[in-house]
Amino acid sequence: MSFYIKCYLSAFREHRHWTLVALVPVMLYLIVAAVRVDNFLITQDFSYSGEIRIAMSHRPVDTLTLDALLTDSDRLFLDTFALRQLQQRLEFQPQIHELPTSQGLKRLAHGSMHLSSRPDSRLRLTYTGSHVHIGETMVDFYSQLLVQRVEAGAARHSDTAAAPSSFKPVGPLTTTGVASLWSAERLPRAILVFVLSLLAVVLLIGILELSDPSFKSERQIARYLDLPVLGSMPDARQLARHLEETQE
Amino acid sequence: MSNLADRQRQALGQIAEIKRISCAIDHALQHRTPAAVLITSAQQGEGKSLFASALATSMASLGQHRVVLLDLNWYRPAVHHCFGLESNQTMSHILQADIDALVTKGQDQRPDLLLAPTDHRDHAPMNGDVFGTFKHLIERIKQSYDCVIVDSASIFPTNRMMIDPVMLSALVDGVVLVVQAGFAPRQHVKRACTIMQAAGATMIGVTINQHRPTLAAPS
Repeated sequence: MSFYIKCYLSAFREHRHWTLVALVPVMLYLIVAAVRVDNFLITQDFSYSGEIRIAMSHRPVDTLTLDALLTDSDRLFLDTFALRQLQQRLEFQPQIHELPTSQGLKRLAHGSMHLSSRPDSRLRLTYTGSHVHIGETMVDFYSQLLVQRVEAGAARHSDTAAAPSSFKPVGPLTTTGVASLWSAERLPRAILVFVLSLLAVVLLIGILELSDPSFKSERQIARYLDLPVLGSMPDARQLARHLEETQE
Repeated sequence: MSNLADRQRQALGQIAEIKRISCAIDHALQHRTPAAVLITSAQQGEGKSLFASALATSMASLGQHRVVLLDLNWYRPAVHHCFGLESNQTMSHILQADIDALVTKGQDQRPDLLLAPTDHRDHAPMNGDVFGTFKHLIERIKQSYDCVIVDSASIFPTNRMMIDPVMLSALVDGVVLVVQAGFAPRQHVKRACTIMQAAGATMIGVTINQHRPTLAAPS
């Protein structure tokens, strides 16, 4: 057994530069991941005028100002009733194969949905993430929800003295694919690819060494040929180089 | 190429390993003089010529014997590369002329050399009794030298354009097989060895060329 281990270690030392080949799949993975569109930006713009009030779902009479909602947009995104409706809507989407759980959906809504104010009395609802179908469904759902809540808020907060308000979507929702050069999510995968490639190289060296029919040791030659081994000449090239260096 | 091979031969000739091998060969031949040793291998490119040159250099440097190295690898001669020389003799000249006129005299403790002919690819003059011709040549050389080292072609592939080492083995006192580590398949070496033994060759032993140092110690 120790003979085979020695043989393998010797072969590994001989072919150790092959381990650099293990970097090739990692490089390929990183290049493909950097070029591939794996992140999507889905937006829906709104225009508004006047004082916008948004109805709160858990209180039948209370409303929120637009500034208050912009400060804490999770009041819209993490609304329990809205999340349940969103979950039901996602279940009916045939394009979505992996449905998030209720906890996962909550985290997704918190992490990927954003509501921001734009110049010229505009508002933008944005999804940023890797699931294009889920993102489109979520932006569509929250757009409808926001319009409904604004209408309900206007009804609750009817003030005849105030200027009439309006709130409506501008254009259809837009989807933009984004290719990012690096993402922290890729690091574990890159490490996994490297480890698997390294194992493949190590295995390949082992297979080549095992399938090599040449002699590996003096003892093997002596036993196989039943002849005495007179001696072993070292690599003459190295000796010649050494001689050349010493003579110089 | 010739310069590198010359340096390799010099370096190998200086190391103790070659001296040990020459002692082992001398012992195996029971200190017989004159003695002829054939150097061959299973496959070409295993270092026969380099080993034969280093062995002849090492034996000549001891100064105890008159040593001559014959390059009978007329399929791919290489001894002249090792010594940085060029042959200027034709085949018919080698087969007929006087030994003293044929041999290149070595200086500075170098062995005498009989290089392959310039027309070694043309085998027309060898269509007669080849065995008898070379037997006569080696016998003539043995009259003038104590140690005759014969560098021959490899046993495989067999080719009509070479002087068969199996045939030459019957004309010498012993055969040394050169095996390059990690090169020749075991089965080929075994087959070559069996062919030599079946032909009645006296196998002195095996010399390993470019042995892996990590596996040098027996497991």
